[in-house]
Amino acid sequence: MAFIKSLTFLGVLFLSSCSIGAQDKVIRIYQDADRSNHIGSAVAIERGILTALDEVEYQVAGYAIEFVPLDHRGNVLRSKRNYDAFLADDDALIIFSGIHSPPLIRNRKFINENKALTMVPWAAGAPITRYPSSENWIFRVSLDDSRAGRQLVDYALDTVRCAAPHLLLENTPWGASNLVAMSDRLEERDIRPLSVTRFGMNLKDSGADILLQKIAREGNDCILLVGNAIEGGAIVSAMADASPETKMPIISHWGITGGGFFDMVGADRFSRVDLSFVQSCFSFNTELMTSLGEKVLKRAVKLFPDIEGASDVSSPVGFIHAYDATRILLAAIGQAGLSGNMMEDRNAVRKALESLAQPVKGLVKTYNKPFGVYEENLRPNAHEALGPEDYCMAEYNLAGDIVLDQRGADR
Amino acid sequence: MINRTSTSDRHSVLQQYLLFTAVSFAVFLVVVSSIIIPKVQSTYADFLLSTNTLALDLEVQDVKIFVDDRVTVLRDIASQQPVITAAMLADGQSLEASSLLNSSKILGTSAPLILFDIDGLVLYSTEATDSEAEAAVHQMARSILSDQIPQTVELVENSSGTYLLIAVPVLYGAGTEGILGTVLPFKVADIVATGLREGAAAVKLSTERTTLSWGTERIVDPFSQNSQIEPYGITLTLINDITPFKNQEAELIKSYSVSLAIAALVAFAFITLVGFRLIIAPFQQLLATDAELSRQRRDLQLIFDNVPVRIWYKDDKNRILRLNREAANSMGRKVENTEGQDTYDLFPEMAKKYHDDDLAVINSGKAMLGIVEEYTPVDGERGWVRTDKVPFVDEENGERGVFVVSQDITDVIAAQEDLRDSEERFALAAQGASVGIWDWIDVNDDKEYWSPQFFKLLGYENEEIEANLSVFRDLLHPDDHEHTFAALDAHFTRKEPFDAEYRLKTKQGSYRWFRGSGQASWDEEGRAVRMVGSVQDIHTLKSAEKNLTAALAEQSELTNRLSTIIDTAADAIIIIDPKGAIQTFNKSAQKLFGYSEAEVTGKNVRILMPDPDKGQHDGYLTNYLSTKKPKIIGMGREVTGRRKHGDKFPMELSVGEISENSATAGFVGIIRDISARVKAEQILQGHVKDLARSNADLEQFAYIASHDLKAPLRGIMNLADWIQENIQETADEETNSYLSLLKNRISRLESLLAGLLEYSRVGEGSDKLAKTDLNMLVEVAADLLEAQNKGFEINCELPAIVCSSSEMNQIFQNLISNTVKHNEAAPCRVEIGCSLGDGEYVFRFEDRGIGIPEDMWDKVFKMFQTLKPRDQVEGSGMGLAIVKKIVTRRGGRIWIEEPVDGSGVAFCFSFPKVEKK
Repeated sequence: MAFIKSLTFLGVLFLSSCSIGAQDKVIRIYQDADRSNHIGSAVAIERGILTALDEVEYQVAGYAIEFVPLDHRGNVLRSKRNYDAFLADDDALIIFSGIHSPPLIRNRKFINENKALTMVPWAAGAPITRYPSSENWIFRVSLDDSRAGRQLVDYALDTVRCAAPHLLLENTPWGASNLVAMSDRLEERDIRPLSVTRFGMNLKDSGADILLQKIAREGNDCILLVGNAIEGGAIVSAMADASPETKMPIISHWGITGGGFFDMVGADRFSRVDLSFVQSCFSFNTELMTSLGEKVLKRAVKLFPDIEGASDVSSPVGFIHAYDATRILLAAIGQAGLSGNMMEDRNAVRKALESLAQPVKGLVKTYNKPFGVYEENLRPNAHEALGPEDYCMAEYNLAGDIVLDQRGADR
Repeated sequence: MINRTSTSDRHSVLQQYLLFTAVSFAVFLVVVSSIIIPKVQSTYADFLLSTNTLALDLEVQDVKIFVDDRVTVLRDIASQQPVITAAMLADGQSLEASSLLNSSKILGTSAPLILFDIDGLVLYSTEATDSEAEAAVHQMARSILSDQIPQTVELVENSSGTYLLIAVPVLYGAGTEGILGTVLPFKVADIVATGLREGAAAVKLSTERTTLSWGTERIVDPFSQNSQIEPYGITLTLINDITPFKNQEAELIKSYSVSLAIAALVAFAFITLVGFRLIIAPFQQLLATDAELSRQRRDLQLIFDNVPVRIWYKDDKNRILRLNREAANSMGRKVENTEGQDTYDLFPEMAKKYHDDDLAVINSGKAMLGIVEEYTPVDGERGWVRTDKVPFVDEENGERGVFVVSQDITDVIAAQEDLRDSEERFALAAQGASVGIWDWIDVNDDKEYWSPQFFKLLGYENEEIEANLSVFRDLLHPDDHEHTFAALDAHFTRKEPFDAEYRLKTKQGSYRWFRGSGQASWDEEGRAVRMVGSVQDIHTLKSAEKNLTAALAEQSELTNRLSTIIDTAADAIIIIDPKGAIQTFNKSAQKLFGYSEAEVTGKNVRILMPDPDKGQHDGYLTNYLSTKKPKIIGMGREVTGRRKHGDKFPMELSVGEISENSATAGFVGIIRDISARVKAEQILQGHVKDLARSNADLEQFAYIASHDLKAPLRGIMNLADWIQENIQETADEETNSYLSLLKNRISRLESLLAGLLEYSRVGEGSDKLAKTDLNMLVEVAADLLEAQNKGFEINCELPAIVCSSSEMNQIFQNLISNTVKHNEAAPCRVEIGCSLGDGEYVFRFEDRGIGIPEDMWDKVFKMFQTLKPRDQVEGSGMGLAIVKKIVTRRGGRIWIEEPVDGSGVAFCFSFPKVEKK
């Protein structure tokens, strides 16, 4: 069975990269993600895109669609190089990003100036979609730190009943954007003084342990974590292994769910740690699965050999957001039509995204005018397809599946 | 001799033995040295190598640790989160990163740290550093990025110092996200091990780009080894000075060698002494014995080889075991390739017989002596040998065989046979030749031996009558008694040959002529003791002799007459045999040639001839005898003879062949001396030459005279004209007449000179011969002379012939002119004809004019000859002379004939026919 699925998967890859090339009219959808250190998230996004494309048989507006995955490995310079490659391709319409916010934040100016139409299905850094110009080329179907941060703070204070939360943030622009959002909300909720630790990339368990001990010694009773799977894994592992005096709940940004996080920590440790994280309100592992969700899962099972059921969809938010984003994109292309001139088509699609006439049914929700024209002060969230109403708290069960937090549901 | 030989051999052996031990000693030393010295060297080299390798390994460890430590520290810094974050975000402004880097030291050394992004651009640099070193680090960063290598290490040395450059990647996850580099100042001496620093060693650290040296200036004789310091690509070369080491090695080799040499010397001395006692002394003794045995054997061999009999031993299997040279020679073989051969292979025909004999001897054990057998040598005629065969048994190995001695007795057998043959031959000859033999065994006794033939000659049966001197005396004719016994006496006493003819009475009672001859033998005192002789019946011969004597007398008479004729002949007569030997040389010949008859008789007739006949005469004879083609025989010929004293003379020789029974028996030559005649001819020839020369001179003179005289003559004519003009009016008739006469004489003289000149020029002009139409030629000549105008009729019927046209023109012009001059008063007809006969043309020029008296016919051809006075007929008198000269010069003749019908004259001349080439 698995063998046949493998063959099918190879066939899909072949179709996606080659057979369609036989058709003259082609558009290419690029993906610029960390396919090395956070490959789980990158693959989840890719699968979401491919599943949506499979639904339209890789055809839109008379053009065949090809998918081109690129790897920036988290490095902003490499990401810029990938954008250069995208821009050099006359058939490249749009580029999907990956889990990391820094490349997008660092290169935001470059992206907008070069009119590189970008869809963000995961990275949550607040500045990403807020380029100070009415001609904004970056759209997001994901969480927005500026608003998720508030939600995390509220969840920590209200649900977890944390009195002295500690902000443990990645020392990157992403971490910085969360620092702003969370500190604002903590200040609003009168939590003073602000207790913050920034950590760099490559944090290891030992380093994390020292950090945690320090945080515990400072009298904090929960941790608001912003980090990716690698460093997050180190921190969660350290927390699981920490002494009872040090142990405290971790309320995390969803960045940790990208790429092998559960396996890195291990089920045993998960049993010894209180971890919840924010994400969009959809899970394949829920009794409330929509009929679309079931169809999509079926298609994913058909397309990808290692997916046999909902549990096998790892880093599901990447899949879900990418799927929804692709559906929105296809709708926009359908609305704008394609001329073959990619400079024109990118702009037309950008405008169509900002003015989608028809609602688009997605996994998280049905998107009714998901985007509008961005205006820095008046409409700062115009390029955000999801809002706080779409954010839910979630946790891993011991099987490694993400399940929506009943506490949030209760709320 | 034996002693000397063996002594010298013994010396030689001793010398060789000593030489052998000395050479062995030397070889031993060389071999052992060649094993030990390299072994010592190799051991030392191994020791040096291992020592050095150990030092090198230690040093490599030290340097590796030095570099490892620094690389590790740099890696640690590169793995720090702020550094990774700065690299990932390409953020050089990161405070965390910059403060981390600024505060980082590398093992206590403050060194510049440079962070590069993945494009190889500097993100952050802690402090300014050596620009060359920084550029190198930059390059290293790029190579890490492009080649994905874990780190690079480089060395730089410049004026500001020595640097170790290290660059390591900034790793995040599986990838390189930036490069961290450092420029570490260091000193090579600091990282060299303490042991080395104190020793006499040097170190080199090198990369592809740079080589750093430490202490190399101390090294005199370097021995270096190197090793890579992995994974940094640094080569460490350890250099040791091996001078002290080599000295030590040389010292050891020297001490080893000396010890070895002394030990070997003692050992060899001992071996030499023992060897001499145990081996050389007995061996020398053996040599002496062997030399004696050899000499004996040589002597035996000498005898064996040189004895003039054939000796060989054969075994019972018929193999020749040994043989001497004489035996081998008799087979035409050599000793060395005959020994061991089977006789069946050597002389297959006789081998069986010989082998049978051999086996008989071997088996019986009894010698077989005096076997006389025929044999055929390989390359010779058949011969005889006398052979003795003696059996032998070799006691040692039990071999049986036969010892054969054989001697060539061919000469003995031949002598026996010759004697027998001779006797037989003599008897047969005596019988066939009607010769009887007698043997007066003792001349003092009456008794004789008469052969049967003797009796038979006398008509008796053998021994029918007694054979003794008395009977002989009785049978002897009384008339022959005296001279026969006188001859016998003369033979006995003076040893004159006894050969007498006498008559003996036969049984029939008649006497027959016999010729008796014999030979006596004398004792030491010269007395005849025995006489043997023969009688031959010569009765028939004696009768024939009588008849012959009568015939000879007659022939002698004839011969005498002929001799007389020959001797009295005035001409020399010489008779030679077919080979040229002179048989007869008569008196005239003796007188003529100056030889006596005795001098030349039997000698080759060549001696009478000068060269070249002398050398060729035998050839002439041989040629004639074989071909019978005569060149001189049967005809006369003038040849040159040679007298005894060498002077030559002309002679007329006629030769005749003398035949006997149709074969050439000789030649007779009759010779007449013609010296006088030849001399007269030579004188005549001289006169002819003189005459020709004289004529030529005369002609030359005539030419010169006539030519040179013409000019003054012309002058005289002119003077005469001028005189006549001057005196024309005053001169009387007589004077005028004289002047006319003068001028007339001058004209005649001119004419004479012209004729003379023309005559002398005959033959000077072109002698070119060409076919010429003579009719045309005559016509032109006649026209020129206006002959027809003057009333002459010229008929000519002439051929076209090859001739000189100018000469022919002259001839006809002169002849026509001659006719015209003499017949001007009564012009006549001229007939000119030509006939071809016997190789010449004969022309006939005939006019019907006044003719020429017959007595003048010869004279008309002479110069200046005119028939009439010149006053009557003007002419030079040269015309016909010129014609004659032309004709005779061409080998023709000219003459005058009676005209056909009585009047006129006919000039005839002949011209040899010339064929145009």
